[in-house]
Amino acid sequence: MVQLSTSDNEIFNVDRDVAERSVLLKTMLDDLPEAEENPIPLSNVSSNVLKKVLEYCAHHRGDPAPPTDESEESRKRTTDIGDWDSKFINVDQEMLFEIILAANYLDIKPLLDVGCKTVANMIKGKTPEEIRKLFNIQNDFTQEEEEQIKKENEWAEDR
Amino acid sequence: MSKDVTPIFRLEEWEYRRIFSYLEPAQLAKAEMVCKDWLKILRPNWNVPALRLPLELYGQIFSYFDPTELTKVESVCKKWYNVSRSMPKLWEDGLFESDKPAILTKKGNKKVACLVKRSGGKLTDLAIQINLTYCDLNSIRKFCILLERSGVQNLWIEFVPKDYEGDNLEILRAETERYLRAIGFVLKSVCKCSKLRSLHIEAAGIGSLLESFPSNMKDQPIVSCKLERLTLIGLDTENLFQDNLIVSMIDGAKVIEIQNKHRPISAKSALRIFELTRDTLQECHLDVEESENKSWLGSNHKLITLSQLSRLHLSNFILPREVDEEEERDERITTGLFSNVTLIIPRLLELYVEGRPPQTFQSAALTEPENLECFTMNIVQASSALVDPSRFSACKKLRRLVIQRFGQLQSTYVYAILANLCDSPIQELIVENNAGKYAGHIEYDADDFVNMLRIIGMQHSNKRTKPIFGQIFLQGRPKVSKQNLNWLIANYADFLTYHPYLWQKMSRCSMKDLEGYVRTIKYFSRHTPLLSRRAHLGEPIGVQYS
Repeated sequence: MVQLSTSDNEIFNVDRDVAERSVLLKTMLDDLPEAEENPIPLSNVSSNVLKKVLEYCAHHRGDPAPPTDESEESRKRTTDIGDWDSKFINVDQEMLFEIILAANYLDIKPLLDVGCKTVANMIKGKTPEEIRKLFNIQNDFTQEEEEQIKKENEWAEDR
Repeated sequence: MSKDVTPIFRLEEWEYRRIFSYLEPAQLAKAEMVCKDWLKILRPNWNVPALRLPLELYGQIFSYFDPTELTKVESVCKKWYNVSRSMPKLWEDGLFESDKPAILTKKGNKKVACLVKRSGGKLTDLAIQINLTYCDLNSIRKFCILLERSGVQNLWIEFVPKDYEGDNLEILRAETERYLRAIGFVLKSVCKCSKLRSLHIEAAGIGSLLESFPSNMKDQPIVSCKLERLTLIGLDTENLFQDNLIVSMIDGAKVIEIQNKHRPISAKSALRIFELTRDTLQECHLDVEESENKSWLGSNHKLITLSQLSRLHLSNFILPREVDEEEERDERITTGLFSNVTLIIPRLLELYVEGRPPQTFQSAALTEPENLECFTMNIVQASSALVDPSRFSACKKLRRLVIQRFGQLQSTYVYAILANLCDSPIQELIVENNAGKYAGHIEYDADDFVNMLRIIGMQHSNKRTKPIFGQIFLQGRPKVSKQNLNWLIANYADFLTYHPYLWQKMSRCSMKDLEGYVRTIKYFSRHTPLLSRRAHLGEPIGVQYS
């Protein structure tokens, strides 16, 4: 068992193989044997997010290690997500981006991929205005800048 | 902020920032809670989760977009714009796979030029359509220069001749000449792309052009690319073989697809391909023309082992071809093009044969067919002697059999095949009458087929309880008697849901009413490409069943 403490000081007891889905935790546990006794502080992750992340880790505890060959992987740009994963990631935006941040911090590559693919799928096929509306993003370009970008990207409309 | 509020709220934003910079994290967390203005200063994106990520994570999200999509995404806000422009890697992929390829226009090649620039000259993937209606030789020349500089690895080009509906022979000839020259230009440039690993060239309309192709390739370009994957559709590829052009590209290739029913390659070239790639070839589709002059082969028997090949589509046509190929009136059975060659393909999983499969195919695919999982026969009776029904009894792993020209095979022959397959784990048995251009609309007599199934079923009824063949598919417009249809429905669960036409006929409802009930199956046919635009750099797709 491993103990994790969150930014809001909640303690989670986790099986070691579940915790080791996180490369960060795995390295810590491998390097510091005493880490098993004291709770590991995760000051960047809140309890509700960690709960969700651990749910993912528990479901995928037996998965084989992801391929490390970056170059081949970056070629496969499909945004397909498995059934369980897509149900798991069906959360509000606040939670979605917090999960992505946590997966990045804890170094859980498959979860990070799921998060990024989900965001990519949300963006796909939308106009800039629709994207802004969806994510509540302010258009911070001046009118001139906007014209300029439009001109630079004229070719994309050209067919 | 107005003057009448409490003094602590009168400061400017930068002043607050300064104050906050002295606070510990725990205190900052409390400061956030004081008021919305402070919260906004401390966490500028507190209500915009989408802007909270570090820049490199946007890079990862954006990597799922092709350039067209990226132009939309980057114009959302400055942060995203800066990400997209600071990562050349995002612009390397010009495949536009969700979309039509870029089209080369007279105005130039803005799209390509822009991608070359934004990717820092490292454009790795590019799909482009060169349509002579929209561009001229000059713009093609400029494109070629860009191409040679681009560092492209995966290139997909579609050629389309200029629309011309008139019948002025002079104009037609001039247009043809221009079209062939355009293809020649591009081919020459392609040869210089040293990083190229995967090439797809598809030329519409050449089949009907009289000129052979291409006339200006006589001065040999120097080939500096080694391809893993090559697809040539519609070109007169035999010409390129004579120039040794293709040969130096494909040494060691994994996937080769050369399709042109009107101008197939010679058996000699096909054998050269197999010899060059014997240890590497995994998937292959060739349209080959049999010639009766085999002097080039010598008298020695040759043995070629294709150790990695798992998927083979082979279409074989005999010289002299009939004027109307579809009718296949030629009853001669020649000795076959590979008669002095035996192909050994130990790992073959999927086989598609069309026309007249070479005689030694039996030894190639059907003497040791243990691994064969999927077999599509597009042959006629005249050549059926070349695929011996008794060989099927050895197909212990066959999961799918497709008989594409059912109407043109003798019933006894089909029966012999089916009877030999009783012990194979067939999941899908597909029959169609794909004989002419409008095959999908012509009714064919499927009662014959169902009767065979019934006889075989009866012969084995004491051995098993469930039907011998997993699911039966009668493609196109089968004609089945009511009695036989009832038998099919009774013996094959889901039979009707796969046969909308029969269902429609039986229940007299419209196709619209059937929506949601009807399932369709996908299976490989002659026109199934081995590679998609994306797959051109991934692993071969291999055999798929759904």
